[in-house]
Amino acid sequence: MIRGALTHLLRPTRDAHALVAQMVAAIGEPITIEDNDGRVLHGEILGQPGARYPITLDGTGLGWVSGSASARNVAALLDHLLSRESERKALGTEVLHLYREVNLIYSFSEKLAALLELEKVASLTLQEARHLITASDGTIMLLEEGSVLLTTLAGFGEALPHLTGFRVGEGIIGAIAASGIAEIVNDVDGDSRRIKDGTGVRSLVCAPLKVGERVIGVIALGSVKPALYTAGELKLLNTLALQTATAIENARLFERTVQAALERERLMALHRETEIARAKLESEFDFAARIQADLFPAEMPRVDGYDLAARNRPARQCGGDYYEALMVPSADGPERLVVCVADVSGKGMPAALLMSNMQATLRALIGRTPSLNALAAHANDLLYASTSPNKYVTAAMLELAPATGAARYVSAGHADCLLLKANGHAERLESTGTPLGLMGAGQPYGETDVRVEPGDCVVLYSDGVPDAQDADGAEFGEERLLDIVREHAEAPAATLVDRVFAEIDRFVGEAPQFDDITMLVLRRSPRAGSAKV
Amino acid sequence: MSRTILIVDDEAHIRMLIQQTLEDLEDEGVTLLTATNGEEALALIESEKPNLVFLDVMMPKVSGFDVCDRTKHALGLTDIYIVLLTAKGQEFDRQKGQEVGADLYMTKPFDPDALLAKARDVLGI
Repeated sequence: MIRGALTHLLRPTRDAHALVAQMVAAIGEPITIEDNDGRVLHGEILGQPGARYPITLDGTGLGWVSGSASARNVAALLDHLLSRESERKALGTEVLHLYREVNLIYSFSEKLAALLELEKVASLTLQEARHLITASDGTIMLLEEGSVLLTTLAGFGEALPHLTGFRVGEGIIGAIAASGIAEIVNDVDGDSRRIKDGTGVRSLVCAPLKVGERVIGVIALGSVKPALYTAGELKLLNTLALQTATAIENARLFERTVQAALERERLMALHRETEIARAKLESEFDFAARIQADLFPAEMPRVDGYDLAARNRPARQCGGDYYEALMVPSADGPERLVVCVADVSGKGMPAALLMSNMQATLRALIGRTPSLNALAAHANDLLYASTSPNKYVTAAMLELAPATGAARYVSAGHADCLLLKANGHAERLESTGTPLGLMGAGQPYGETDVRVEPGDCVVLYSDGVPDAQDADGAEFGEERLLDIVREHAEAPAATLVDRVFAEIDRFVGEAPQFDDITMLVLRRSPRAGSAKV
Repeated sequence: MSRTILIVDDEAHIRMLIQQTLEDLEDEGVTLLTATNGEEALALIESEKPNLVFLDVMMPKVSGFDVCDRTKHALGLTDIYIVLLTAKGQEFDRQKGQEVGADLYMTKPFDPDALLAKARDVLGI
């Protein structure tokens, strides 16, 4: 306010007022000071106007000093004081402006520290920048990690915020993102980097958002009317950009951490659900396994002159193998012993269900058919009728007259079993027909006559015994089985079963069991006095 | 009715900044007075009875709290609106501020726009 400067200077509270008063007193003559409008600021209007001297500031006349020739000195003093005051004021304005900046940066830092959301950080930055840098438009654009596309995060005004999705290096803002150096572009239209269908922004001040040397985005303020942005404004924008970049990086990290935590939470919940479902299933399987275990004979029948033992070890909780040993009455003579080992196709729960079907069928039929092959034929018909063709059962069955050792062997497609004679000779017990339930009703089953003499040993087993594999895929094999049976030919049947299972475990090592393993041993005691010593 | 604002701070640059901030008010007939310490401030308060005082708290000898307390209580000049200025980062004793009868407190670095707005508000300009 150059016009009011003189009035201002001569206010009674100002030092200048006293200084001028002192000088006038020293001169000792009437002096009048008036402004351009004729308002008297000091002294009185003189009756006899004397000389008039102009009071000027930067070449502009602000008023007059009138009186004697000495009034010239008063005018000179006022010129000097006005010039000093003007400088002081300019300096004060500058300092106040800097103070505003300091205050802004101070409060900006404080506010930023409380923000963890990207959009809020960006909005706050633009809002604070606008306080000190005059702009019609503003934008903050971010560079997604691993991308060269700048996308708008926040903005104000009509022109700049619509700029989005352009590449680093494209246009003026893209070039600044590429160079990482803040710039003032006061003549956007004359800039060769400008994209032709630009924004209508005429002047621009733009700074990169940098974390270390990495550019993560840009902040730009612009004006749709021509403006002259200053180096001071550029410096301020750079200061804000530096703080914002760090805050944005923090917000991103925080967002990622939150996302990761949510994802972990979700997976944990899923895991808990799965675990509950698994535990439920497990307990159902356990229950099924207990039911299935009850299907096996609780204990082996005691037959004079014979020793019987059997064991089943399913690969999973429930298995598809089965064994049976029953004394059955005979219409034409003493009780006979029927033993059986069966192997259901498939594994796990489906096999277990079919196995229980098989068990019921066998229990129903044993002792009610004229012969063992008739039993096999009947069982085949029943199982074929009650199951799909891809479900079948192989079974090795032996019916023995204990007193004589005369026996009949029927194998419904079962793996070859073994009769080890007392003299060490091994006989293979081969298949005499098709698996039960596989080929349709009316299948014929043959019978093999077998003599179980004192010291002989019948070994019925499922293919889980010879097919047991070690970690390299090698099979346990029939030879190894035969060797063990020979070696323990005179041991109790239960010991032989134990030995075979122990040898299988040793052979298999850490490899997982993939098939059910079942074995039944029927040994006829040696004739008294013939035992080896 | 003439209106007067008294600016009290022992730091010259703060006095100058506040003066500069409020300078426009001079054109609207407001007189700006300054004091560099507590004693000077009390003398001016008693003689000039300003409408509004911006008063720094941390001053040697007579503190801002003392000046405020004497103004509001000993002198009974309860109409004088007193804004205490405190440095940011320094624990401000709000309770003491209340006890000595301060009307408001602002932290330094102050926001010049807020300071000017407050002055206009208190003076009714």
